[in-house]
Amino acid sequence: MNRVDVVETTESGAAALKVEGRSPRLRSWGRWFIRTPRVLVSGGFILLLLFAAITAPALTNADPNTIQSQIRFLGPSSRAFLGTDQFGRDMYARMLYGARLSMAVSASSVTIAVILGVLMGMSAAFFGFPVDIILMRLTDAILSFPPILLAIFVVAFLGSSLQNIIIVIGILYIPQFARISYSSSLAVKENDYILAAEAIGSGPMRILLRGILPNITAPILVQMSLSASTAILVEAGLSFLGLGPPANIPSWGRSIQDASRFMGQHPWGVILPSILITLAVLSFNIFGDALRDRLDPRLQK
Amino acid sequence: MVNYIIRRAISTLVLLFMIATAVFLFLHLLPGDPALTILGGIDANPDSAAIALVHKRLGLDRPLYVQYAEWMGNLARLNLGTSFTSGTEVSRELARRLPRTFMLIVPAETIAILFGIPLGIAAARLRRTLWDPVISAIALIGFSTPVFVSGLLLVLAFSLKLHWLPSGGFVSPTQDFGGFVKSAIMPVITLSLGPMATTMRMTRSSVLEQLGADYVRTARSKGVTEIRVLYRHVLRNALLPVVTIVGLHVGFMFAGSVLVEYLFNWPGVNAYLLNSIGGRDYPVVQGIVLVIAAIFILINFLTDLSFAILDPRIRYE
Repeated sequence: MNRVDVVETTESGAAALKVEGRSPRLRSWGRWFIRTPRVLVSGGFILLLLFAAITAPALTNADPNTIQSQIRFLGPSSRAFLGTDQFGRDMYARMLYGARLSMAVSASSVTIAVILGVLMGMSAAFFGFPVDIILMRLTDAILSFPPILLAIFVVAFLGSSLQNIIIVIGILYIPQFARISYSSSLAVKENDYILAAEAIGSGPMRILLRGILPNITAPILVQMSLSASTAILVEAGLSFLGLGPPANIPSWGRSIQDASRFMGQHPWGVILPSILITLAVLSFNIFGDALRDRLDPRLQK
Repeated sequence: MVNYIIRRAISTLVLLFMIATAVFLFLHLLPGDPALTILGGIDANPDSAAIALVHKRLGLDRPLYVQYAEWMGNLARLNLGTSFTSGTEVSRELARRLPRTFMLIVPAETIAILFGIPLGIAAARLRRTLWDPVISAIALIGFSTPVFVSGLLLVLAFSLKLHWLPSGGFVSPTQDFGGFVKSAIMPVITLSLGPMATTMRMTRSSVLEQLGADYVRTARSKGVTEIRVLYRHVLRNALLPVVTIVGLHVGFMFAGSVLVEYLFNWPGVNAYLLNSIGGRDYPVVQGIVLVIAAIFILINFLTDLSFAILDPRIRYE
């Protein structure tokens, strides 16, 4: 992929929304999405979660935090589509808003990680010594902690507001993106067109963003999908430990933790959020794997 | 080789020094006062004289650089200090609790390898049959299920429904070995599922990659049996990358054991850390974070070394 291609995709991508089938590239991605069963299922579930996250208030009349003590521990029934929890709160509404939290946390933290990580990796590769040593040692230091320990550490001391959790998870995943973009940029940097761009006097920012970045997007996209899955896991893990976002924000991990004390009498309260978390993580993993197979020509045998 | 080891040892020390400094600064510059916890929390509303007294006793009234120098000086003598809240030596408490965490991690990793590698080989051998996607799908599910989900499902099945195993707690192996095994089964299995799945995936792709190599074609055309090709030729090469993953797992296991220890009420290092963070017990938190980071870095180092020993082509300069 070179720079011109990318410009073409974005322009024709917008156009293709209006006139169907304008861009062969977009059409081939569409075909890939629909005709590859694992992509259709995993990508479809991700889209469903995103849809639920964005339109949660429109999809239910129930408030996820309303306590109704007379209808505690309901299974799926006519009173509540997916049952109620130990406080009689509507599980369907809680799961919808839980999807909202999961998607918001993983999307924003992965965005932070991508922007900072890719900038760090590209600059390290482009500027060389001593920038590379400093930046890559910094990522090594982050990597020398088990991720959830670092998250617990930071959240416990700074407080577990939604903002802090997003920032912590974002920082946790910087190293992955920094390393991937560092090694890919090292290879791309040697190309003649980068030399040409330097020769005609392009500034470093322009070379990084328009010369190198479009050529390292494939591995970054794959890593984004895989990191989104682990971000969901970390958020759920923190919520499970009681270190997640405040209690008025419904969270799958917190639902599991709350319901686990009543698991003997009402296992449904644990099972439903467990299934959702697992499916969400699974979908992002499958989608990431499939994306890698498509984007990495070496594996297309 | 010796040169390489020395250089790695030096850079490891530098990294540990950086981490020690970062942990120290992080703890001391952030809001939160251990004196408040000792005096009964913010709600108890202790007067400022009492707070000052506690600060003096703990040495927190001295300038930051003095505290830093003391912390580094003690570290150099491998002294991690004493806990603010319980008064026990951090290193002594760690010596008591680290083995308990390893009692989960070591068997879990062993199970992961014992099952993951054969399953991976099986999936690669059954490449064009229906079994490969089935095994791979199970592995993908295993590696996507959060530990607290698989742990809770095990508790639901084996302690709440079948009443076979205790739902949590720790029994010392020296006092009651049978009880220890019973209390450890579920946490160990919970912890092993993710690493087992990654080991299986890694083995499968590594074996498949080697099966396409020229030496395999040569061996086959010489008339070497398929079994012999696989076990004598392919596996030797294919298992190399699998070794690295064992090193990576230790990180995963520590992360997973935070949740597993919490879920199964297992009094290991992570449970200690969680309690101490809540109580702002600086020496304990500093000590644990440093020890875990050190273990982590050491294992990465050993993984790199084992690579050089296993693969004579790799020469570290």
